[in-house]
Amino acid sequence: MSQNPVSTMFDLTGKLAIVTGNGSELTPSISAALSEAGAMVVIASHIETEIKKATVAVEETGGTPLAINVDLSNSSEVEDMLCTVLSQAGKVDILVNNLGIDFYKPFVDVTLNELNTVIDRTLRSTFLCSQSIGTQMLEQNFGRIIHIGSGLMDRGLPNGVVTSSIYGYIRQMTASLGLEWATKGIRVNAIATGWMLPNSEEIQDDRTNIPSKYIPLKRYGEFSEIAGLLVYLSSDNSDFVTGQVFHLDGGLIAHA
Amino acid sequence: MNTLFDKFNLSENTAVITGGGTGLGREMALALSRAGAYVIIAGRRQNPLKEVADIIIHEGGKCLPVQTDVTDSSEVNRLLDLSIKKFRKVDVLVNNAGIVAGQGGKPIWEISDSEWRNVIDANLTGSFYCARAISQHMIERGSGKIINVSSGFGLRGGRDNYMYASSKGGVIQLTRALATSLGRYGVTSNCLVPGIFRTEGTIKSQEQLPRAEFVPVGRLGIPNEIGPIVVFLASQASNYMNGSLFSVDGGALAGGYAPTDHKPFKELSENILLT
Ligand SMILES: NC(=O)c1ccc[n+]([C@@H]2O[C@H](COP(=O)([O-])OP(=O)(O)OC[C@H]3O[C@@H](n4cnc5c(N)ncnc54)[C@H](OP(=O)(O)O)[C@@H]3O)[C@@H](O)[C@H]2O)c1
Repeated sequence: MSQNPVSTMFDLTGKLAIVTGNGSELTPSISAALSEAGAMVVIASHIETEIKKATVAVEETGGTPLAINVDLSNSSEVEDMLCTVLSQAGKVDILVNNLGIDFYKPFVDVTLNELNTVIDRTLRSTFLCSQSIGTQMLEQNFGRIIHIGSGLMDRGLPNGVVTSSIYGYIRQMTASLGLEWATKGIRVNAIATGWMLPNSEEIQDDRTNIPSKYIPLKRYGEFSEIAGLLVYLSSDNSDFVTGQVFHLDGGLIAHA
Repeated sequence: MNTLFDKFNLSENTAVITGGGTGLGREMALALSRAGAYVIIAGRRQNPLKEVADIIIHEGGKCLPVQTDVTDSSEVNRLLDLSIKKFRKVDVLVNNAGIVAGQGGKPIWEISDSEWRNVIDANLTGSFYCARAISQHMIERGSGKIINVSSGFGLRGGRDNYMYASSKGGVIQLTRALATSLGRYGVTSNCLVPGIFRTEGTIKSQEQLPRAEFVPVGRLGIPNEIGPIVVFLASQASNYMNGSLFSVDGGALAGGYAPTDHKPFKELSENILLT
């Protein structure tokens, strides 16, 4: 580990982290950040390309991830995943529910099928993972659950009725579950991301005028910029922080 | 700036912390120094400042204590001029000074003009003066971090809590104005929202504050828990955070301290089952 004295403030050595995914572009950066801070990372998703990318990202930090292909909306598959993790590591310290979705459509055009799919992939999966892994955390008397959300946790958006409603659910789940497990050593928080791109090259090449029009910092975020907040919320030092949503958006939510 | 931990490192950074002699400010100064920053601490009383400076220097850090009343803009200007002169630059400003003690317990009609002004001046105007004094320096350098300190009372109300809640609500809006105005120049502004920590300030007004059993996690905050958060907000690791509120309150804002006439929250929800 680094010689830097700040490393002791944010060190995750010896921690076991499960990162769930639903095809989010952020999955590799999230997995890499936890690994770089010292955690052993499990990548759980039903999307093979996402698992591969996250695996490579963790390996680049020198870590060896455990990749599990799992349908997170299926309760017995989630239980099996937890069993596999426990048989190898004996515990779960950190759960990152990274189950956001981009689904935008005029409200009148949304079909019941689409609604059900979105609910399964996000709400139902987040519920199942939090319940089964949370049960393990209750036994340990320790845990960190971090939901990855978006600015839609606090703002509405035309054609985003379904998506923002899901984020509203995640916001309230963060608050209520944070309270319910407040005396059990488990902390539940959320990171609400704004407009972010994979790397500085893509940010430089961007020809839209979205940042200059909408973002007070006048630039997109880089995926890797989620690392600091994520690692802080995963660490032992966040014991007095729970039930909260933290915006990481260059000032988007602060603007009127 | 390669590894993740390097991004939290504050070597070569200079941080000004108002109210850095006691309570949360003291812990912020110690943590920022341990993360590598040179710190300037400001407050009205010399002794607490000197004590903190001695600890930091003893640990091998650099610290300049500057006696300052943040309600006096000429003293604030002098503080920031001195800081820039001594360390060539200021990277981080933590607006932590504030009047905490003696809040509540008085009906509105008994509050005098000067009681109102004292708290508004120390908590809100002082933060404005400091931000104003450092803004152009930070803009010229194209970087800087302003960290304001509000409170749960900046977002929620409390019985007979007038000027503290009003000033702390103002601090949140000051943060948003700074974030949306200075962000374009590379200067970010964020706001800490502490819950209840045991400090010199809160001990004096304890009977007006919720007890540990009312805090969802079941305890009050420990002042040194603020350290890692301030290091994070002062460092490159938080570069994309701007205009954000950073609550550290044991779950207080997620629920509340005493929603039903000062009864612990637990009693409310424990036994309501879906039948
Ligand atoms: N402790 C908590 O539970 C809590 C909760 C929410 C928010 N906060 C906020 O956190 C900050 C620190 O509070 P604390 O609990 O650490 O209380 P504290 O120990 O009383 O600290 C307040 C500091 O501010 C300084 N100060 C007050 N008026 C000043 C002025 N006019 N000019 C310069 N310095 C001044 C004081 O030093 P001098 O008296 O020597 O000037 C003191 O060092 C405050 O802004 C407070 O509102 C605290």
